[in-house]
Amino acid sequence: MDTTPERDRPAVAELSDLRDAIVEVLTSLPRPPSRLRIQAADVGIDIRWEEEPGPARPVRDPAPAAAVPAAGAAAPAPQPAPAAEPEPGPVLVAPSVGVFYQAPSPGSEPFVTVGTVVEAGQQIGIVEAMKLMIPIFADRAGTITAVLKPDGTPVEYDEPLFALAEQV
Amino acid sequence: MFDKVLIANRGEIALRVARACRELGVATVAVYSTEDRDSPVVRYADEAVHIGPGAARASYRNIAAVVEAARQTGAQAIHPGYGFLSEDADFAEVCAQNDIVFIGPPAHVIAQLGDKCAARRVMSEVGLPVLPGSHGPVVSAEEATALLAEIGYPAIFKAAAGGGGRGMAVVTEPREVVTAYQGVTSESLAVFGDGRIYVERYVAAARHIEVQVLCDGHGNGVHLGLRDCSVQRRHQKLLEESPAPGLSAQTADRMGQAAVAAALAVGYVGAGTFEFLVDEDERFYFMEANCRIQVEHPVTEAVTGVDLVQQQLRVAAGERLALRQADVVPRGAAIECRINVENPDRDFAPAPGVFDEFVVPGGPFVRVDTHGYPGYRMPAIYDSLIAKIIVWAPDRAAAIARMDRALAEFRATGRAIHTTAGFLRQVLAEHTFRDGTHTTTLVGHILHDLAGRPAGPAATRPEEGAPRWARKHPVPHS
Repeated sequence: MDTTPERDRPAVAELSDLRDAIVEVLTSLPRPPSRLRIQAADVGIDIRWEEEPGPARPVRDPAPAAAVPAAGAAAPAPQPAPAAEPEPGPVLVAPSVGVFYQAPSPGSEPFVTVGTVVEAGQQIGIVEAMKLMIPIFADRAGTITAVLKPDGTPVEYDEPLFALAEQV
Repeated sequence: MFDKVLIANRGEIALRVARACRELGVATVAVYSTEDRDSPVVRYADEAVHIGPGAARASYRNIAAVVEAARQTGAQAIHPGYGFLSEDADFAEVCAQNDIVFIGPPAHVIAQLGDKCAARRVMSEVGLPVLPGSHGPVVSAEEATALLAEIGYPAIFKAAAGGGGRGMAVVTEPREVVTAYQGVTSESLAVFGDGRIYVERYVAAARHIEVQVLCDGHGNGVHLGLRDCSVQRRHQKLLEESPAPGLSAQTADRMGQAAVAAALAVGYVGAGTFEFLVDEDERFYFMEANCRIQVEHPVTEAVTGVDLVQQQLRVAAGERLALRQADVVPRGAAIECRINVENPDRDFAPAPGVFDEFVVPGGPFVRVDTHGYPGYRMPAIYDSLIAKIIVWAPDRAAAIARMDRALAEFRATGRAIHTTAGFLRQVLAEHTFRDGTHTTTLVGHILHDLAGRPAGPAATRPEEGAPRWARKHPVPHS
């Protein structure tokens, strides 16, 4: 009697288990990975995403920003709009729900205005949440092209606060 | 009454609270994480504030973000729902400092009862029976072993800061003590940030019965009957019912009165639950008190006709209880089933995904509390509860038949989606459940029996299970 099917059955079951586990993992991911490594013994999953090529990744992808009917799309262009639709630049978003301040203290000069050239890591604003001053830093070098929220206004988490043109 | 209330929660309970507010004419503010931007309460509420990213500690557990959202929107009170900040004494304190009413008991009461170990002591002092066990936290495995030599085996280690079925281990003999002690200590530290644990006698075949109490801020309190929550898997409740089947009216009365007396003795305000273990001789022992609205509150609402969330709001607004104990007259029988997005065939592993189809049951005396809808993507990072089905009938047998009918009508399908609806029908079919003689061991027995049976065909075909983009981009071999 051929015993192969008997011996194969557990292997098939394991394969199907593994497959289901992979599907479960993949379904929970925000976007498709570029690489997925599964290790069976001692269990281990290694997921990698490709870094976006070209300019540094915006804090938030332009696409979702456009999907939110809030500030991003309505940002006033500092100059008359060129004929061609400009590529939406990176936006810097609120790190917390709170009150947005453009300046370090009332009456003082704002951290940045339109046209300010900023370095990566430079402070460009503050969000205050319950008397906690949370600094907003530029995550890359560039020129501020728009300040999207007035000083002292309440903002939500992830709301666009600045638009920035990256240096070429 | 308040003009505007912020709901610091998500999912079905956020919607439940928003509905109570609407009926009272109170404006609502929802808060949501990035993961929950498509949650129904975001649209249902009068206002919604995006308070943080998916991770709960940065959004729903983020005290600064929640309070800031309340201040921005001018909400006068915050309803915390269950879980998250609902039993966080610091949060209650911060609300008070910001002139926001926390809808729940005072901060010091939460702190006292939230420490399960302290709660045991306090409740014993005010006259509730407790199981034999440690009088404070046990600080070493040696101390535990010595104590267990007195109180006997089996025993259970529990996290002082525990809840939600986490941080517990049963020991049946001395050689298991060291492992259990270390295991529970480290889990408690990891999950609750507090490694203190205590030990008490473990009653294997017991019933888990809880008393719903409601107290105002003027020294009045009532109980709203009992809920039997014995259908549990690993200390997680799957099905609850009211009244507790087979329990004598005298015992039920004594438990109710004892719970109200204890609640008033510690200055409890709002809706709360006192959990008891009840043995086969109807002796009851206090286990813990929950300072929040509970998942299973609708069964009490169904038998008493009292809207518990509205009562919470009224009490928090300073009103006196309009109910006296004589006004609380439970009628008939109610059952709640929790539908979780989990795969019972895979040890109840979470099985979230996108719902293609989401059809809830209807018909007479059926209530469904859910945040699901067709097209809804169930986030994988929160708990797996998607719907609660509650039925009422004049008697328990009719309620069981009605629940079985309702579960059969419930349909939730989608890629990678599994739910516990089918498993719950198996629970309803168990003869000990139908007799009302089941204990907390019921689900373990069912699963044990199922494990003995040959496995059925795979629950999903590969084509159905895979997310669309995963099919387009086949998983690379490695």
